[in-house]
Amino acid sequence: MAGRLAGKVAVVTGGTAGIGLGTAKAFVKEGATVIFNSRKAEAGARVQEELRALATGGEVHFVQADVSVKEQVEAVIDRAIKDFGRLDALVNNAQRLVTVKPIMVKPDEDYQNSLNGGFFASKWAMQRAFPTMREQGGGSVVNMTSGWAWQAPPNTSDYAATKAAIEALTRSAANEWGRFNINVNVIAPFSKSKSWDKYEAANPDAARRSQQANSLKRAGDPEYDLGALALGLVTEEARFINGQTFDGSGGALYLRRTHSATESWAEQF
Amino acid sequence: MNRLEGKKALLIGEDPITIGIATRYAAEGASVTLIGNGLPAEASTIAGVTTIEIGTANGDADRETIRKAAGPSLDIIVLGGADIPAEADWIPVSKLTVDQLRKVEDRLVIRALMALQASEAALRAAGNSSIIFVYSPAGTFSEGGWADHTIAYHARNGLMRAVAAEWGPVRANMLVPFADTPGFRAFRARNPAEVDHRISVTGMKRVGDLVKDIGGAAVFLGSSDSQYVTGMTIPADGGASATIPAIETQMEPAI
Repeated sequence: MAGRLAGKVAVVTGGTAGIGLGTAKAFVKEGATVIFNSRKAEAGARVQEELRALATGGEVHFVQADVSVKEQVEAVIDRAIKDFGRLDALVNNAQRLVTVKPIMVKPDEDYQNSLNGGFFASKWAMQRAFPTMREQGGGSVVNMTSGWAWQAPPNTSDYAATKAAIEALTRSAANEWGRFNINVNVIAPFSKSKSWDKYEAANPDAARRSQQANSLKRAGDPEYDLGALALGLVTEEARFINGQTFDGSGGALYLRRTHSATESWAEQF
Repeated sequence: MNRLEGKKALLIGEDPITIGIATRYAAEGASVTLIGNGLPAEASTIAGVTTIEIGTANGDADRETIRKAAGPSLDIIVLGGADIPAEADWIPVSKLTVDQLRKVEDRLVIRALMALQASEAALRAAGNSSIIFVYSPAGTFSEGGWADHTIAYHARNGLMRAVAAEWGPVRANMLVPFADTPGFRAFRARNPAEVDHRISVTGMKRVGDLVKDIGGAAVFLGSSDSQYVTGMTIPADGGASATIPAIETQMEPAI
């Protein structure tokens, strides 16, 4: 049986680790051609081989690029369009890491870096992709926000503000581009990753409570939970779902369960 | 197609959205049972769908019928809603009687609770199974005039959130359709200017098809694609809920 993305071309930014890699895996296993980027050439080459081994009919190409530089993120999009003549799915996953500082001492430069490496990266990629998606009769964009845009912890205001800006960009694009059969949605993920593993090792109780706070009682898998969600959003089935923020956190964000009490009380359920 | 091959789905409802979802599920290869009170004749003609009539009462007999239909293991349960009533039947708060409210709550809340309880063991047996509640603009926009529906749908939202919080890894979500139902078409015929304007300011500038758009979204919510999504209210509305419903924001687009 042909894959669900057979013949489709996708760009996944930040595809060498975490949710980006999980999404790229989910896409290539369904037959898509996937173009992905990273700043790191060595990691990109390694992941390119890993993804090619999983591919089921589509091609896999790595482009070394820093998404916080406009020309570089545009070059990633151009690779898909020039070599394959179309772009069906764009997953703006990459986000530049931020500093941990309170608002009163966080310099403007930090905000600008966060915005360039998240909000502007997504905007530049979307702008570059749009004419092709319109001309070919449609497409899908999936952006990444964070629960921290809604329930912002201290000291990461640049990140929270960037993610909130990405959500607003998503809704604006959904309503500007929906008429061209382009749906634009955004995911707020809670996923396992290398940094999660480090956090869990250093803070086992806090990590356990974090997972207990969602209804599914686990941190998400980058491929089978978050990659699958991105996959679903770029297929025909989700074509009328547009402008939505998806809780990719096992229910932690929408249900907003508190950490306290639930572990013992949950035994009653 | 065949996205739901090997999946067992139980749908409780007689409204056009639920019937559209049943049609799509059967086309995707699911084993589909549709249970309702006064199912329309067309329901029994959908290929691959088994129909069962139940009573209006929320008694033991109906509960047992649902339990049997759910069987030992159930992957998806869809809890149908109600089509848009004619304005002549709308009831504002000041005129709403307890009996009128109970009638709508019986269908949207009590029957859903009963169906969930009757199928709980089967849903839990399937593991990461999916509960899909069908929602309504009466709940999302709370626009007034049909208080019975607005109140009952908000109570239904509470039921969705409670079951999502309690039954993990079973997941529960609310699907909010913007769809071309008979009730919507009748409403549009009576209010053409308002409805056409409303559609014109939405992202996709069209009303959803029952099978392709709303049925498709229900496939997404019933499949493993959304296995990590629970407790969410998810509009399948082309972007209608993500824009300003009443204000013309469209300057001549530059593109």
